[in-house]
Amino acid sequence: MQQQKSYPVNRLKIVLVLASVSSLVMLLMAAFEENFTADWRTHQQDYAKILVSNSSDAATQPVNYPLEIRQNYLQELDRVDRCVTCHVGIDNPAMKELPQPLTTHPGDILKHHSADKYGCTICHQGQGRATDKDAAHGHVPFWDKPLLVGDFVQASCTQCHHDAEVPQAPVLNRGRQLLTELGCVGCHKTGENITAERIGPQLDSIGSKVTRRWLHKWLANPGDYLPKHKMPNYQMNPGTVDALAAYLMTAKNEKIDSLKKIEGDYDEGATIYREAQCIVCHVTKLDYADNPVGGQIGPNLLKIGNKVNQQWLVTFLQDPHSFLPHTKMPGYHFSKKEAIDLSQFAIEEWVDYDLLDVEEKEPALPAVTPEQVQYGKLLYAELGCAGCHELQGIKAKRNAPDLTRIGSTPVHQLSFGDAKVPRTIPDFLYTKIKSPKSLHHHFELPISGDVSVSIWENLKPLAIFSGSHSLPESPEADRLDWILKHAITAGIIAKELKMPEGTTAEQATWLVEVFNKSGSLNPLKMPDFDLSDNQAASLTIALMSLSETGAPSKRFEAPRQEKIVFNPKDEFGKLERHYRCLSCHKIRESGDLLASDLTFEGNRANRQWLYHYLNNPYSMRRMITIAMPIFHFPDEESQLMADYISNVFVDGEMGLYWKLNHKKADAKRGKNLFDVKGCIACHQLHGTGGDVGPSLTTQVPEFPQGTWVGDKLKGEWVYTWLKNPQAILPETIEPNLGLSDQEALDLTAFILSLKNPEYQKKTAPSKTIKEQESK
Amino acid sequence: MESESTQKDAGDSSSHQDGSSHSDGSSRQDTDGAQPPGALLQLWQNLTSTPWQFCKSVVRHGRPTSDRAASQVIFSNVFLHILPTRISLHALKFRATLGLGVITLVLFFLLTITGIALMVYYKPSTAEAYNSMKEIQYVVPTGRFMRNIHRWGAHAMVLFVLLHMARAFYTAAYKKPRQFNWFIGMVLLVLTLALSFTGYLLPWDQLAYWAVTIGSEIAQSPRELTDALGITSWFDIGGFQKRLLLGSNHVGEEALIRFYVLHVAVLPILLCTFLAVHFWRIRKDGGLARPSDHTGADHLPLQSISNPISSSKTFGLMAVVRGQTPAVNRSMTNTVPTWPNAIYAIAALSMLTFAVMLCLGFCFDAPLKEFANPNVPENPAKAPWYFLGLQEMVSYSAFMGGVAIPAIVVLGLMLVPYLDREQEEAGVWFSGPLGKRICLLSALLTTVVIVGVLAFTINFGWLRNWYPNIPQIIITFVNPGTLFLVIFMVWSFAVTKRTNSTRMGALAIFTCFFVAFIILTYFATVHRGPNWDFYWSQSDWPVH
Repeated sequence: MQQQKSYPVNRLKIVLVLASVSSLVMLLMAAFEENFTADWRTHQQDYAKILVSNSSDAATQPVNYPLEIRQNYLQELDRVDRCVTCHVGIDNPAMKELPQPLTTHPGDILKHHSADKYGCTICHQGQGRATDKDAAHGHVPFWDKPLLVGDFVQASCTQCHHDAEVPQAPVLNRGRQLLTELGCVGCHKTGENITAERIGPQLDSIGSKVTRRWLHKWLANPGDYLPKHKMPNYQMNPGTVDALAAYLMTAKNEKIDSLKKIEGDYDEGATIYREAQCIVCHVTKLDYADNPVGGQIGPNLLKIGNKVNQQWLVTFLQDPHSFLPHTKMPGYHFSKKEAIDLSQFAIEEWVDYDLLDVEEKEPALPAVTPEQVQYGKLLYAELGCAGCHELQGIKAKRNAPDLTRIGSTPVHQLSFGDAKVPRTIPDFLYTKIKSPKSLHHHFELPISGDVSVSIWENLKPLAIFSGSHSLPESPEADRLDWILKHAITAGIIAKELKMPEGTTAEQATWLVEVFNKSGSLNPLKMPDFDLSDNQAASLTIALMSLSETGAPSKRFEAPRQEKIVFNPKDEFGKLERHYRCLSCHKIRESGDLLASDLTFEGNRANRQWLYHYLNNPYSMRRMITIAMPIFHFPDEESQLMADYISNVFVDGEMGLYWKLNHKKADAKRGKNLFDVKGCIACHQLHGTGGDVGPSLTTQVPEFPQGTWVGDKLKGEWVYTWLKNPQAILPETIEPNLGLSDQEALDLTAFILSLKNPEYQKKTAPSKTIKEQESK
Repeated sequence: MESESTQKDAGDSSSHQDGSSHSDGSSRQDTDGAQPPGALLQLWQNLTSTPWQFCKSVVRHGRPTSDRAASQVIFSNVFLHILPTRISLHALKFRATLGLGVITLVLFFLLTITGIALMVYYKPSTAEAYNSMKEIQYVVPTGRFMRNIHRWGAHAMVLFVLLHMARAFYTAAYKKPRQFNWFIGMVLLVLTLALSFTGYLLPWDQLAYWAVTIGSEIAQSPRELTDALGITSWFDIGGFQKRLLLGSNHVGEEALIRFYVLHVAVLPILLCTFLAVHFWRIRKDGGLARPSDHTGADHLPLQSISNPISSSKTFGLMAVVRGQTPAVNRSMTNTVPTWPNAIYAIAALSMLTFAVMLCLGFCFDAPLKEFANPNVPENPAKAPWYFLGLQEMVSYSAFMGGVAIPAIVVLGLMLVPYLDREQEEAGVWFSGPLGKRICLLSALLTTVVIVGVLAFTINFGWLRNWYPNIPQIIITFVNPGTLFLVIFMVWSFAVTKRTNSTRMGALAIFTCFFVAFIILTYFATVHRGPNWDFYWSQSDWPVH
């Protein structure tokens, strides 16, 4: 017992008790945390309370709402989505007004994509298995797929919807369009659903087209020439600009250069300009507030006098398609005289005289050296110019990062540089698109190895100035010297720099510093597109949709819709390709909706009217002066087009009721209906009425005979239109009056009775068509 | 043999207590004299006294108020009888053992409990493993807590096994008669590392996948030598080791199921078996190492049956034969009864370990990175921390760092008791002031050498940087790893010669390796970044 006291057992007992108590406390805390503190319990309790208060007979029928983890288990999709554990009211329409997380899913998306079948994370991403907010929303480390909200959800549609146009996903579709329109596809591979086309003009005769001075300015900063320009600012250094311009100016067209300069007639040109309706596609003037007026389809013409040679313009106007095979510009039948007059007008009308004055005072550009031309040619391919512009068959390299699967790239493979943005794919893409330079990082001297090799590797995109793709075989000091010499030749760094004396390491440090200052190391080829937030967001969404995760089974794949391209091989097709009708008109699924949709034009307008209109188009509305250009079609061409339209662009089913019952119609009752329904509020009739809709009795100076609505339209179309205008043209503001069949018949009869007697006297020469329906 | 003597003792004890115990009234002896109350009443009385009788049948002795009863607590309990009834005061002192063995055992216990809980939810397939980790984290009640404890416990166990080994070494506990138990200890160390490593793969996240990939590359590292010798095509031991480990050429389904089986069945059974041997040998080797408290021979001569050695030990049926046996419980002086002293010490330390692990599990979440993706290598891909020192050496030479040096170290450690047979006081830290000085010097030397060589290689590179076309076989044998090995061995021989003591030499080389392990592990953890390049801290890593 004596020895027992020598060992401090009582102190151990205290330790034992304390340790046991703290273990117990820890276990209790874990149990408490598990059973009481989870946020989803609070949410479900709130939800249960709301259910009780909403329930009218809560007293008799108690609301049974157990607190538990809820989930959508989707075996086929390999998902377990517990989102509904907190978002309990997601499919309960009564919860619309509640705040998150209890509120109802907005829109009617769940009708087509029920949570039972699709779950949540298929579209919204995030971490479906998690049950606390940050983890479930994917805002935790090591979860690459953060929650997508708002428009960003549209990036997920492409997993199942493989069409180029995804229904109900406007932002995604816009983004995909932008990828093409901005020329992204010129440098990046983007997969099948994004049209890859060269969006810039062909440059094969650029040397004969523009002045060298203009080319210099344009390359250095397109914004100096035009405030709104399609070509982005590449922020090239002067050496690059010199070389590129030197090379581009060698692309000459001898035929144009050999043409003599002939003065045209400005006034004649002005008339042609009005008839050709250039303003539909081109910006040709400024309004009182100096805003550009004119279409955005073609280039802005306001400073064309400072840019192009008149001889080139004359040649171009006569046959634009030989210069720009894919242009939307129609082929006009300009004679040489007309082309000269129009070009005279263009060059005198659209010129910035101040700019001319400035240019006169500038010193002459130095002579071009053969090295510059050679360097420029390399740059042209390397910088991706060929991605947008065709030139001498140089193929687009598309050597920018492949974007085909950018949406599913692991985050840590993306280079964020030093940018202070969250490390997620959407944030990366958005930042990169908005300002590519912000994700750029400073080049640092490597710790070991041959420094010149690393510098060379990082210079490579621009460092083809030597025409060689590898460093010379020599010691490092010589290589550094060599790099410096060529960088100066290429204009990448300033001429007067001299490498300091010292060790190779010191020299390398100095060189890297110089390069860093000029921003030439590790150079970024992607230009700043100066996009709006909306554009950047659309693009981000479109890029995020480029992902390798596809629908797990055929059952989830939306059916593909074949896009029918209207491109007939017959005579009409030839005419279409010449006049480029589809630049403005839509025919079936092809073309643009700048003008009317011609798909069922044969049902709408009668042949006689079509023939006259093609020869002498006019505007349907008094307030709008822009109309179809006067093409001066040869007579047989207008005949052919009128025949083709009235025989091919028809739907035999349309207005069948009218065709069968038009004898029952009564124009007088129709007139009465016309007055009762107040049609005159929007439509002109004999000089009175509103200007919202088209006039029913048009009188325009260009077309003295004047056609009225009855001269133009066919009963089958009018009847169908009156019954439900939106069925024909969804975006029309014409109200659906809800007419009965008889009322529609009567009103149609009245409208068809509005014929201009003057016009009727003139009969159109008829001609049978040879072409069979190609439908 | 022992159980029989225990029963006999227990029987004595109960009959001894019968007289003093009033609640024993229902026993047949007492009721014989009185009026028979009838079988029904008897049944009733039996029923009411059953709880007490049950307790008595479990614990046959009474309250441990006497030394005898206190002893009975120990030897009549199957779990406690691994302990002696009396224990040396020295063994109970905290500074003698630092409690490292007990802590390790408690951690193993905790790992087993939490491991079984996790096993219920874990699905060992590449498709489901990661998902089941997420389920454990988010849906399984207290699953996150269990996993955290298991994860941190595994790291802690490796750490404490290593510390326990160092303690045993520095207190000369490997010496005769404990040579074999030291050997068992080394086996346990290897098993612990194997358990931790196999468990590393199971979450099937990026961390797991690439750490195990690195581990399997280390297993394949003999190929460097066979390649250099040009014999890989017919003797590919490296490739064989890797395929044996993974069941295929890459970490995949086969590797996962293999690791799972090893982790939950094979290795734990092996570990428990060796653990039993380890504990049993502690008793048989005379308890915890301690300085002798009497002068005289360690082994008492056993001359004849007529000359019993000691009267303080009940030998029971143990044959007393000629020969030598370790002197068990050499003296009663300086010992205390195990109950309550050692029991409370062990209980307090266990509960303390328990509390700390629970706290860690409650406060810190175990890492779980992205789903394993063979196409996206982690850069840097790092092995589990206890292999990072090896990985650093593998970066110099795969064969040396991955096979030769670890083999030499483990083999050397196992052989230490047979190479250093100097008899001396066990249980004295560093074997006295000279040893302490030598350990300090060795630590200093190791620090200078390792930091120096690392700094040198970082700034100036190694042979490959100077002579790009040098044959790999030269680098295999001339690299920082082998340099360390040579320096440490030379230093150890010098110490042995100078002090004329193998124990001092052993202390020197053990300290060198131990400090080298610490420095290299730290270095590879903190200062190695992408492409195994040197960085001062992770914030300097190049972002891309």
